[in-house]
Amino acid sequence: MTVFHYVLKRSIANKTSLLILFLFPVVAIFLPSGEYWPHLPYGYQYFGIFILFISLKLSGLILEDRMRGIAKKLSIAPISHFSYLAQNLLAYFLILVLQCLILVYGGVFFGKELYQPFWLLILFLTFSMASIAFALMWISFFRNKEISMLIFMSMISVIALIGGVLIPIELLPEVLQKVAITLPTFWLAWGIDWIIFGGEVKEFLLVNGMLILYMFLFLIIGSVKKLH
Amino acid sequence: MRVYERYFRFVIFWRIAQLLILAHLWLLSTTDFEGIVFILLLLIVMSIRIRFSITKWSFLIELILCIAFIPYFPFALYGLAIAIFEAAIVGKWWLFFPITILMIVSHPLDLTLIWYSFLTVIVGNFTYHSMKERKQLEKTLDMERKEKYELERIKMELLDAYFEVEKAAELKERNRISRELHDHLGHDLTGALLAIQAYEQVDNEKQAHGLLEQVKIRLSRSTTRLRNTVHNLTPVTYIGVERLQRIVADAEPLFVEFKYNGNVDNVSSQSWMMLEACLKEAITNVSKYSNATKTEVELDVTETLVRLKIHDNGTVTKKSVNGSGIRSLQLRARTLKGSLTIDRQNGYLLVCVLPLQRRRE
Repeated sequence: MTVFHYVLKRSIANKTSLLILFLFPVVAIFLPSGEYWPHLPYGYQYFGIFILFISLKLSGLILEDRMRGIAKKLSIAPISHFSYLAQNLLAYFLILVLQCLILVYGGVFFGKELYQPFWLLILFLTFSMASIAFALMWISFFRNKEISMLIFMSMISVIALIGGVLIPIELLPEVLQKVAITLPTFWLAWGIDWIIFGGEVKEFLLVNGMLILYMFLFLIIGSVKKLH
Repeated sequence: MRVYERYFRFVIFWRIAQLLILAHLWLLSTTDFEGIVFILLLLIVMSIRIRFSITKWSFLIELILCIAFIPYFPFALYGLAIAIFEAAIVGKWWLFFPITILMIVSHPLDLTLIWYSFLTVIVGNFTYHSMKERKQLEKTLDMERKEKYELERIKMELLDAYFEVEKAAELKERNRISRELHDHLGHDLTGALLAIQAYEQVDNEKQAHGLLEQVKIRLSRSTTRLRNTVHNLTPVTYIGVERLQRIVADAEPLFVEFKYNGNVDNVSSQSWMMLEACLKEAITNVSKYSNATKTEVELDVTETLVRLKIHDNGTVTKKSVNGSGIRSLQLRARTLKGSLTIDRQNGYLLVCVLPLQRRRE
């Protein structure tokens, strides 16, 4: 688990990273609630977008490894590509788990209206997995960290908008509403709606199942061994 | 057998196109998430197939998925075309028939669907055969490449063996010379020396005269022997710089100018052989392909290397590639730790540089 430890240390190596990683969830707890929409406080509604950004920022380490030729050195080291990827992703997931825990339990602690906090935590965790896998796939298309981040930012805004995280999906035209189903953020928004309004457990399982399916898809595409 | 079309871009393109068709149909349909779950599952199977080698029966997964989703998403019938394609590209095109029957049975006759499946099976089958051919070609190519490497290896070994044989021949020749000198010349000269020494001691004039006669005979025999030995040792063929001069002289009617400087005795016989081969090849090339009127040959021998430069004033095409003769010479130059370069910028220029090896005692 050397890679795992090293990745963890690298992720929180400087104060800026540490602040971004752990201050935001704390700040997000205290963000106010909207008047009509969203039903959850803003910090919780927009946490999905934050997860996406953090995933990309974290998986930037893999891209950095590729750019600096560390991936090449690793490919001749006695460590498999699978093990390297798995330990990296596990470290990122651990950081995201911590953030989700801080956010949800902080909310419960300070008496925020979270409807079903436990299911919210589960939803955030599943979305984190899909999001890390998505970031892994995303960086496999790029050779440069900055460019990948820039394009990702603009794309995330669109995904979040169409997916129904930024604004209620009902406000969108019908065609876009249908296209939105193909986006992971749509399922996150659906999951949040389920947590607020309740419903059959089957529905919540579908949401999580879809996110896990997305995770598998992105992992399969993103796990290509790239040495540049 | 593994599915081997991993990098066959066309297959990936076709698969994506098929999924896009399904996605389009889903957009047109009134189905909500069932369609997207179905497409997502197909996408996952597809990416697994592209990333990893899975068994050729994996098209059954698509078949089962389609059958399972037909009640929820009617357009899943179009997904059957994906199964048909996957079956066709592993040579099981006949699955088209049972699947088409299934389509007709489970749905009112949809001619577009039948046409689409038919198109798919034709494309799939065509791809299967072209992939098979490509695989065969790659195999042949690999074999030929392997044989070429093998030949090159043998060539190198032969060159090595040639040097060994040359060394052995040199030693044998040395032995022969020393034996010749020892057995005949040495014997006679020693005899003559002893006779001279005896002559100094002898008082009897008659005896002294006899000894002097003996010395004369021995010396004259030695001289004859020496001449014969030297004559026998002198090679019939020319070697070294004389050989190069002779090649140049034989190159008539080409006008070839030959210059040399430096101590040509330092050049080893292997290097001479190489230089000779270079000169012959270059002159042959000039007479065969070039329109040159003048060719300059320069041989420079320094303390550490020998350089042969052959330059003509012809105007051959710049794009012509090196023939097998030149390639073989380059290989030989490499084995001698030297180099052979060709330049066609301004006439034909061949430069062969070989290091001078220290003579081993």
